[in-house]
Amino acid sequence: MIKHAIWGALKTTLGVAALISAMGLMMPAASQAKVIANKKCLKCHAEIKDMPNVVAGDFQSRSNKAKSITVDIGAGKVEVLKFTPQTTVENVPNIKALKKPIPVQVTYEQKGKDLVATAIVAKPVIKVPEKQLIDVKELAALVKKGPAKGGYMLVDSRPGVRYQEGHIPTSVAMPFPKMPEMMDKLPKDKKALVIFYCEGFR
Amino acid sequence: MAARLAEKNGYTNIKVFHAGVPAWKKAGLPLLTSYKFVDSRLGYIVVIDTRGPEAAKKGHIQGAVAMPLAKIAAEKDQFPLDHKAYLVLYADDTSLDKLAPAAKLISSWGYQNVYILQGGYKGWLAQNGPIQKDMVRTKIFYLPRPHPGEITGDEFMNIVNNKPGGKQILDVRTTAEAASGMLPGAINIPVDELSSNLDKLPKDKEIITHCRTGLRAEMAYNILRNAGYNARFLNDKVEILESKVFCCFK
Repeated sequence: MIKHAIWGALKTTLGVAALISAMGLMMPAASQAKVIANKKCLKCHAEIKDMPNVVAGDFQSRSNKAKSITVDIGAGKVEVLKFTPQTTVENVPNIKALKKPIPVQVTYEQKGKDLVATAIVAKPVIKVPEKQLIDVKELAALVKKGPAKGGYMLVDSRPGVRYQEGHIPTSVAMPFPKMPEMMDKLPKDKKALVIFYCEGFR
Repeated sequence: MAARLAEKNGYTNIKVFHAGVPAWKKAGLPLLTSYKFVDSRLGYIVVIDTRGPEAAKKGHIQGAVAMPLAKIAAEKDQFPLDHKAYLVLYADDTSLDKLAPAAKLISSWGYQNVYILQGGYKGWLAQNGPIQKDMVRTKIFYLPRPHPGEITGDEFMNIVNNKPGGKQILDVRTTAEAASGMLPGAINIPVDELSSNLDKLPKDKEIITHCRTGLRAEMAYNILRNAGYNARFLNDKVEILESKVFCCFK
């Protein structure tokens, strides 16, 4: 449910948001609501800006004693939210399975001064058709040959800072949000083998 | 997602390495790091000059430890205890084939962040990265990068012992934990009750939080910071037994 509302309905929400901004209108409730979201998330999920009571960012830590989690919302800021036995968790088996830095969207209720999480949605793992999968052995064999001999282009879709920290040899950085403007970096020959990778499934 | 976008643009021979970087690491395969990353973390990562002390004397990356490739296996004991430590190997240039086996060996000891510097020392010089001559380090020295707002153990203990004005120690453990002993002069507000009890804290003092391990102290630091307080936290273990303080193990 929530997954669809948040990650799934991206197109429609974006469409509506674009239409509204195109008409020069503002959504009064949304524009007044405090946006607690990492800028990075907004690049692909602009709709979060108009969602009240949502914190979006990278999961950072959990304390059972404090019944709290923290979410890195970027620009050096961290938001602290409480959780309860009623807090639902999606796309990971349970709250313990949340590890730094899995992106999350947390819906919360304000109780007094506290933000209490009602639903935590971890970024879902994207499904890939079986025939498009390449395993570590196959890829390692290609990388050993190099792009020219191996006849491939390897694309790192993660954010630029991740690429800078550590990337697979011979790969080219093409962060997903920037990809539309970088299409000319892909091979001219559309039949050429192009391999994508990212931070991987959990 | 990226693969779908490429497909839409007419690419017909697309593959996805779905297991991604973690699987690549797990297989002990080498990853390349960049000048930019190493430069930004210098001082908080272990940089290993695999060319050995002679070459290092003529010039090496600032703070690098000189350790010839052949000697790495024998030096296992001096690698950091923290398996999350960043370890960067370099040679004259990228030298992937030469350095990959050493990176694999170090990874097999449990280190999760072992990288090879792309471009090696030549690339570092080309970027005008900080270098040193002589003064070659031969022992690994590792200091983890402090989190924002972290106070050093020395400064924390100085505040505990000398109680300077302008500082307030805040114990954010549960009341049950605090009942068995607290630091002198500290206030106890469990972190999960902190937001609703901010009025109990002096606004004109810097608040220094601690808990038992550092985890909740950091949460409290973030709550205080978001509420506009001047705060720092101790990211270290504290045990208080019979009014004796055991602290600061880092």
